[in-house]
Amino acid sequence: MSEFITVQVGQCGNQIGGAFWPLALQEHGIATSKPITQQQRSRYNDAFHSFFWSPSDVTGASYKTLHDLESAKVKARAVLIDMEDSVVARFRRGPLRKLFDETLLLTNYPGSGNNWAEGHHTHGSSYESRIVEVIRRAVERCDHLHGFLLMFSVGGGTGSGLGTATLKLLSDYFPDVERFVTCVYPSGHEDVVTAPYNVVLATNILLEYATCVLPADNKSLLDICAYLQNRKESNESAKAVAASSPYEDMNSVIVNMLLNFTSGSRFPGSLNVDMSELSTNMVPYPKLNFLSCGLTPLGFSSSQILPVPKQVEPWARDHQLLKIDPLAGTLLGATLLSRGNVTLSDLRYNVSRLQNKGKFIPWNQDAIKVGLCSVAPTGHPAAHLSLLNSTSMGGFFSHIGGQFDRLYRRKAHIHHYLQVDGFSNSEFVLSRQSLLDCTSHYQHLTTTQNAVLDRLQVV
Amino acid sequence: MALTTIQFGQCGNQVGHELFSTLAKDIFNPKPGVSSYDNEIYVEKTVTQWFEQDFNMDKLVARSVLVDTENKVVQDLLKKQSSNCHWGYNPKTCALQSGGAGNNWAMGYQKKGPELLESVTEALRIQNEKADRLAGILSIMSSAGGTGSGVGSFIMENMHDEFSKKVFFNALVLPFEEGEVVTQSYNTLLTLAKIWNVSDGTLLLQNDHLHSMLVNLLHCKSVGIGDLNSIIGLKMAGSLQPLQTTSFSSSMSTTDIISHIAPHPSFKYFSVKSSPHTPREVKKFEGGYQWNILSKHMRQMLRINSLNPGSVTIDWELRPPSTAQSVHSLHQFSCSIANLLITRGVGFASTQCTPGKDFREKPLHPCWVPEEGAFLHCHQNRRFNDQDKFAFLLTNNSQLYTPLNTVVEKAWKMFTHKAYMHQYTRFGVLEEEFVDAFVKIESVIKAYKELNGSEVTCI
Ligand SMILES: Nc1nc2c(ncn2[C@@H]2O[C@H](COP(=O)(O)OP(=O)(O)OP(=O)(O)O)[C@@H](O)[C@H]2O)c(=O)[nH]1
Ligand SMILES: Nc1nc2c(ncn2[C@@H]2O[C@H](COP(=O)(O)OP(=O)(O)OP(=O)(O)O)[C@@H](O)[C@H]2O)c(=O)[nH]1
Ligand SMILES: [Mg+2]
Ligand SMILES: [Mg+2]
Repeated sequence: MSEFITVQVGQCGNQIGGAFWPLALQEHGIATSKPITQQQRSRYNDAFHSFFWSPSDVTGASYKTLHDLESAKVKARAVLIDMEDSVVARFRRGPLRKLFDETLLLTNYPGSGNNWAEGHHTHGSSYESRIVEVIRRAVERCDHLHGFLLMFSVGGGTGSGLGTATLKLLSDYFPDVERFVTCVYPSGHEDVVTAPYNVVLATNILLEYATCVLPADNKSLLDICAYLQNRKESNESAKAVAASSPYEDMNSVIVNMLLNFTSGSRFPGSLNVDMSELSTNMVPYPKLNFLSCGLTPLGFSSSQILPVPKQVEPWARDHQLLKIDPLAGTLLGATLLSRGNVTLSDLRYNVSRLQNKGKFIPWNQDAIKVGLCSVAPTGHPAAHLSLLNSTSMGGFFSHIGGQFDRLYRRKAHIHHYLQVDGFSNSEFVLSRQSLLDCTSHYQHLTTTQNAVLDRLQVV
Repeated sequence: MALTTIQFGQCGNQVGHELFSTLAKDIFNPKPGVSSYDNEIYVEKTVTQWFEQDFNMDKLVARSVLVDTENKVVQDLLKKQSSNCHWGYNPKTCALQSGGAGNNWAMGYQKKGPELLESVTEALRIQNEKADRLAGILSIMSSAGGTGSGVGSFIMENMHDEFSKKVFFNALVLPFEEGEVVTQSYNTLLTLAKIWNVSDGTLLLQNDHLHSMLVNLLHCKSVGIGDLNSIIGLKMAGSLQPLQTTSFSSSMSTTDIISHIAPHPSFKYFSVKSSPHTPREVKKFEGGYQWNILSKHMRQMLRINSLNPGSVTIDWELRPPSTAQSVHSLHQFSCSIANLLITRGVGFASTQCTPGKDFREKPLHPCWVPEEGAFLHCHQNRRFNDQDKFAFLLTNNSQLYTPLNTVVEKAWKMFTHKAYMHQYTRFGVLEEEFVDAFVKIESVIKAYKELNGSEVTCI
């Protein structure tokens, strides 16, 4: 089975991690708060190795409770990095404290002051060797490592700056391992004034170094949570753990996505999708690696099992983790991953509906990748995840570019960045340019006509 | 004579498993409908061709090599066989990795193939050593992914010289046309081009068509991957199981069949039509069809629209055989290089059915194909698939260009926009290789297309 290492950086990254681990355990039938009723999950104990490691070679079947994990010295395949240790310190005291390996934690006190340059350059260079060492330690415990799952926000300093510095290190030291980044874009209403700079500087690195980026923004996450609240599909399971964070529900939406995203690599299925297939299918040109993720159902429900209708719309605008409408643009590629009780016919039915709704790029009208995984998520008989590479992403880039321009025009706060060793003004300019290039590439693709070149003639 | 099978990738392994299950079921058929002496001969021939006896375990062991870059599928199959008392795989003849080939032909061909070569060679040696007389190698794979297509092409190329004196053929599953793997057209194009040089004959299987058969004939409301495979299993077993020498038909070995159906180096493709496929409930009540109706029905499957040979006409394989034959003046038959009708079941000798006459009455083949070579009929009295009558038509005809044409059309569109090329050049598969593949397959298409013209000149 494929293995993954999560790399959680900064406050946001670690809080997402905080929601991730209890839910990952739950998929294997291990309760972190209240007892789990469905014990059948332990059938899939081979997949336990994907996220967990233990020095003794016991299979997941023998674990039922946190106590079992502790006595078998089971550890999460997780690397925790923060330049401020409040969140990580909370883990050290929390119910999952034994799950995290002390030697895979890296913290420091002062933080990065919401300054990308400080995170990326100052901490990035002074922590480089320690980060590499910690990650190597996690890698050495893997037999079939397939991917790093990086989690951080791009609005602050540590996640945004040091997170992207870590991404670069991964691509240098482990070029063959896929790098998937879940990053959180600010909603625009937070108090981080320098966020637009951090966002653009980080995005530039993500375009270059990530295999695929699965972005979320807090505005969408808030809306999704409000919607779930109305539907009373509350995310009880996540709440129990991240109780002190205001972000708990929002983060569990992201976690829900990540668990579905990796399900094909972890569990068997009659149309299996391995993580390595994602970029082949979804990234037609370098740097067009941002994918809009949408889910059905959006929430967890551990108390009641709700039926999932045959006709689903994970690609709909209000199911996206990012505030864009992917179907309004031209689709360069789409992936539909279904798990649980879904037949090939259901899948083909949804494929043809997406085909009718979406406007696909003329040179690939059937750019849809599908997957069927036989193991359902916790609390639902089935779930569907859509990943869309849409030219609407260009609109998102011009939006964040615009916010950057408003600050940069006034040269507001730039001295905080310029005084950091290793940072120069050209990074602002180049990063902004790289976003502009991307936007115009997307723009160009929306107007692409079909090939005028005739097929080869054989004589 | 023995045949060694190599199953590549998810599809190859799932289809291969279904093929061996079908064969095992056929061996243990409780109502063979022939004398026990004849039955014994049939069973012995089948076992020699496909299995070896494991007397310790009282089990048949499939003469097969299992290759995949992601071990989940094979692991699942090996798990299943513990509950199966009749046959199994030898775990020593598996060559596995983990992570998959990323739906990328280049990754399979350039990276995973070379990595796996040694273990595949070894597994093949183990398998062939056990066979007294090896007739040939059958490879099974899909063309859309990365493993079956890329690793399959690589291994077949490398094995070709070693087995140049044996029959070396393959079954290739073509993807659903409407989106499954975004890069499926590239992968299929490159696979077709590589395999063309080394394979003696390629059985083309179209998932779309199989899906339609399940919906139209078997009235499946929801189709699973396993359902597609059960039809493939029947078609392949029905074509390759032992045949008899009778007054009206001659016995043919697998080697004979391949050299009959793919007699010319420019025409190596064939498909297998089969009938009747009836839903279980219907089977019980219907006494079955007359042989001559079945035989005429099989011939109908070669019909094309004479006004527009390229356009889709009624697909006779998707209809139950019927007595009402509409013979209007516009009907024309697809021009065939070779046809082989195989009938299996009871009471053929006592009927007035003369398929030879039906198939030869109008010229179905180009003038340069000798009359006696163009059509053959073979028979086996033993009941197959618990049906009194079952007919299979192996056909190498002009219509085979249509699926290939679709693939080239789509691949060419993407190629002219250089879409996804960086995913292939990354592994050293450059534009020139694509151009070579286009040239090769365009010329194959042209040859098949022009057959229709050559038929007209003969009338
Ligand atoms: N969805 C979500 N967003 C968060 C969470 N925590 C912080 N954020 C967002 O992340 C941004 C702030 O970044 P942080 O992650 O707090 O900063 P950091 O990476 O720790 O960097 P410094 O604090 O500057 O050292 C803001 O946009 C917050 O809205 C969280 O748990 N979930
Ligand atoms: N008929 C049939 N088609 C299948 C089956 N499994 C996969 N396919 C088809 O095969 C194609 C996908 O290729 P796979 O065989 O899954 O890929 P692979 O060879 O394992 O290669 P990678 O996974 O990319 O490493 C699609 O067209 C599927 O529809 C199967 O069991 N039966
Ligand atoms: Mg912070
Ligand atoms: Mg595979």
